[in-house]
Amino acid sequence: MNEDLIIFLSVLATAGRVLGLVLLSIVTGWFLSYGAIKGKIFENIFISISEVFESVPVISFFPVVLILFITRIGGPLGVELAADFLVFTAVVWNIWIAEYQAFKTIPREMVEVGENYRLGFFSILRNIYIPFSIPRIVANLFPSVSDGFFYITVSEVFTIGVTTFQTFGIGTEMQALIAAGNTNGIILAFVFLALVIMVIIFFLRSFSKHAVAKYTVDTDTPVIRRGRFSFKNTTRRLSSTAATPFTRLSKYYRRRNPSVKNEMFEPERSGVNYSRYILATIGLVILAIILYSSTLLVLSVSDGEWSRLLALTPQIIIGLLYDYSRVAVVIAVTFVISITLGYYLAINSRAESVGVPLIQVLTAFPAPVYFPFVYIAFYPDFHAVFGPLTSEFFVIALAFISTFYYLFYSFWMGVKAMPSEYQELMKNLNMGFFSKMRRVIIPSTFPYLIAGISSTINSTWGGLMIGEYWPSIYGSRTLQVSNGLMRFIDINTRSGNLGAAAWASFVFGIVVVVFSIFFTRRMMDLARKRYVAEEGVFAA
Amino acid sequence: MRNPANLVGGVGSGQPISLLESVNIHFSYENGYKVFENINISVGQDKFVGIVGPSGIGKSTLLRIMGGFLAPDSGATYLMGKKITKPTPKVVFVHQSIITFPWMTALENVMLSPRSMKVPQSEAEIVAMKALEDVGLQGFEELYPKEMSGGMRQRVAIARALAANPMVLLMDEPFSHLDELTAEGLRQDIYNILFRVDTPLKGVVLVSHNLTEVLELADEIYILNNIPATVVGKLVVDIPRPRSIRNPKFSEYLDFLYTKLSPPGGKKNE
Amino acid sequence: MADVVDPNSRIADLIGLLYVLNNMFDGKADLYMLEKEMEVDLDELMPIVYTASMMGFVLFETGDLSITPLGRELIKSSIKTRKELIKKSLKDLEPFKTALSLGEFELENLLEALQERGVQTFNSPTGHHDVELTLIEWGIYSGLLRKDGDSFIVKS
Repeated sequence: MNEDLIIFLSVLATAGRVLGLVLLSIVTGWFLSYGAIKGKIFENIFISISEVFESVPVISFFPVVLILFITRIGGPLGVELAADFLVFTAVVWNIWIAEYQAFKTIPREMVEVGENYRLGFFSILRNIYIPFSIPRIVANLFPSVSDGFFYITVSEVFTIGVTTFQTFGIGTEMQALIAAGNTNGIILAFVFLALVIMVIIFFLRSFSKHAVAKYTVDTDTPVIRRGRFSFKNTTRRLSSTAATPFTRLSKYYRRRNPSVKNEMFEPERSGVNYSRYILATIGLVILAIILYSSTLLVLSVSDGEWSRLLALTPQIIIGLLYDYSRVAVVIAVTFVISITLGYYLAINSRAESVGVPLIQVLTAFPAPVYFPFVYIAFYPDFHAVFGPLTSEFFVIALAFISTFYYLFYSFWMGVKAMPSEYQELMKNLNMGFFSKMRRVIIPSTFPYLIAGISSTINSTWGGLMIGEYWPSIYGSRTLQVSNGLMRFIDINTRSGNLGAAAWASFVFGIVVVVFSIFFTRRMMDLARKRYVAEEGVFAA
Repeated sequence: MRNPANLVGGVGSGQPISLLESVNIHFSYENGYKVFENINISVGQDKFVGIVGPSGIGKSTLLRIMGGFLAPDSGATYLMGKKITKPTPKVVFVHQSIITFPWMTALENVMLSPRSMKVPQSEAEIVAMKALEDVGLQGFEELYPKEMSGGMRQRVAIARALAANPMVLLMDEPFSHLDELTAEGLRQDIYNILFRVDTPLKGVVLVSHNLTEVLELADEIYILNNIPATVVGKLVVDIPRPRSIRNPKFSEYLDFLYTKLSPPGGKKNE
Repeated sequence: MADVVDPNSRIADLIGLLYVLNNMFDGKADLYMLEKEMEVDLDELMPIVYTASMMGFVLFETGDLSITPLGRELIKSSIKTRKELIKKSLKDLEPFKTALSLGEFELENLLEALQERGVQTFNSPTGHHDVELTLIEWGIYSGLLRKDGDSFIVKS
């Protein structure tokens, strides 16, 4: 009885952390975004930091967090903050950028009304900016909450060397229950967690509908007139495109706004170099932070440490290559499933009304909590099929489960945001499935796909971090693969060899930032420049 | 033949088969609201048919039913006597909002039609070039829609429709998003383009709330009114082209349309 | 002051204006009558009225607008002949006059050259976009120019 209560409270504690941190992200984002639209320098720094960090896997922060919070602050508070920080970095960037974009695109007339009545800072924020930002925040909440649950359950309990740090929550509780072989408790924990997540998803869905009905503004879908954006007469067009709340919501999801106000008329070349310098600087700053923390450790240990670390580097690079292959497999599988299932759900309203909430609940349900049971239950079956590659299969499966949602959700939103006329045109021309995909659907969801793939890559690293070396996943069983950078970091963290772990994440950090700047951002620029389906609809 | 009272041709009624014919269309929204009751529309060979009605009466919905995009509760639409059960490239819909694909050049936009119909690449290119030329867009092949004005984009959309070699075009207020002046210019052009001898196009249905526009273009006009909507009248426009609104018949017809379109006088529906 | 094609004028506007003048007003109308008849604002009407008059398709004097023989010829012609007529009338108007002297150019070159000649119309924040749209709408449509990648080329 008492134990049941503890399990229930641990679920609440975990849910509370996630929701609390999401709320903290939202509130801080309002102030920072307001600062950004008021000051040019602050804006550049804020946006560049957010955009780079958004496309860097959360997991690469982990060693830094451990060092800072455990060694500097210490005690229960340090452990709690370490867990919270990991979740915070997982959810915050997305939300901040959404809020910034909302503030940036608020119609000038609205702001002028506020200025006219001389509203004070809080008043103008509360009455104009905050309501205007709600649809964008809501559109980004589902993935953020799922992401939060995923990381909180693993960051509640972690081991460095011989010391295990833990803080109260379902992640910690579950491990204790497994260790004690308490089957009833485990089932109960699952039931409680499922209930709480369902309540949260239900609440989020209702809130989305409410937010769309109350806070969306017709001018959010700018209309082009004589080659210029016009805010006149947009309601007429909206009535044809805005069929359901989620269709309207999709307009706000990760939509890199086609820069209504300024860039439209400027020659496309100007300004690009400038932002590239900023990004490069930001990248260097991140590296410097990681370098700083690793240097601290290296210096504090011994002089011979440097040469030892350099000697480890080839091993790290090989591990990284292994991991990138795993990422590629996960992305390929996720992509195929997302575009088929996502498209099916987006065009079949009946399947959608069941399928989407189900997927939302399933993905908010943290994989690290139930994966050990899946592993134990199906190990013999899969061993028969995959033989020596069974562990590899499970690691990739875990990464897939933990990451599938981002691309799926992004793509689904992209299809929802597609002009309904495109659907009719495809039907009219009797286009076949592949022709539709290649010529219309994939191009028009391209910006969403790129955003989704970028998030998917990042959370794949999270899945690999957990899966590649998972000691006592169930009882005395250990899930591990023979090669991989994440395994390397895991093992060194666990054995207390923080120097090697930090060095590995330093190398990892370089690769990831380079990847982000040269691949992800390029693709996003391309998406913004050419693949904006809304520009294909001319209405005035 | 040209008798306004002759509303229904009727399939198999002994008369020549209509090009496109909607028979006894009944339609309700999902919430049970009755939109259409027993609507009959017949598009003859080489005819330009207009459909007018008060706003909100469901003109676009009717056009979608005629194209097979929506299924009526009862009744059916026939193309050359053959029932239409789903959208077909033989009956192409031209949207109210001008629809182009921003990631495709003008040529690629137009090639979408023949390519979807499995026409080989090289042949599709020839068809598309021809369609672009027909709408006056020679030289625009490699340009993106973004670089064009609304009028030019609507030409691309119409070229795409023509490149599908349709028998019928269904046009849903195709000029309503353009300035009146632009619309006027395009309207004149489009009519000339549509009925040139070398297109397989045999008929056009135009839905519009702009009565002058319909009178300028249409051979026959169906008038929708009441709730649920029915055909309350049909007008055969007998003015030589190019039509001038100064022709006395023009204002006569306009008066007739306005009379038919006024709300059902005094008596309340339910 | 050089004659400049207004960046807000469109081919379809020209055809529309000429049709309305010819068919509804017997070739001659007061501007305010036209405005009333077409249900357009004056600021939507003026760009094409000025451009059409500079091109010689209409005569615009003290509020009166009348169609010229050239204008009548235009609307009675096939698309092909129309393009020829428009092409001829563009040659003395900016930005086409400067474009013809350049032969082959990118937008930036043209904007610089226009600046040197004292044409101020495109010297605005939207100038880049305006000049591009004008070149495409009138120049490419009439066959005076063609576009190859980022550069415009005068067709011989």
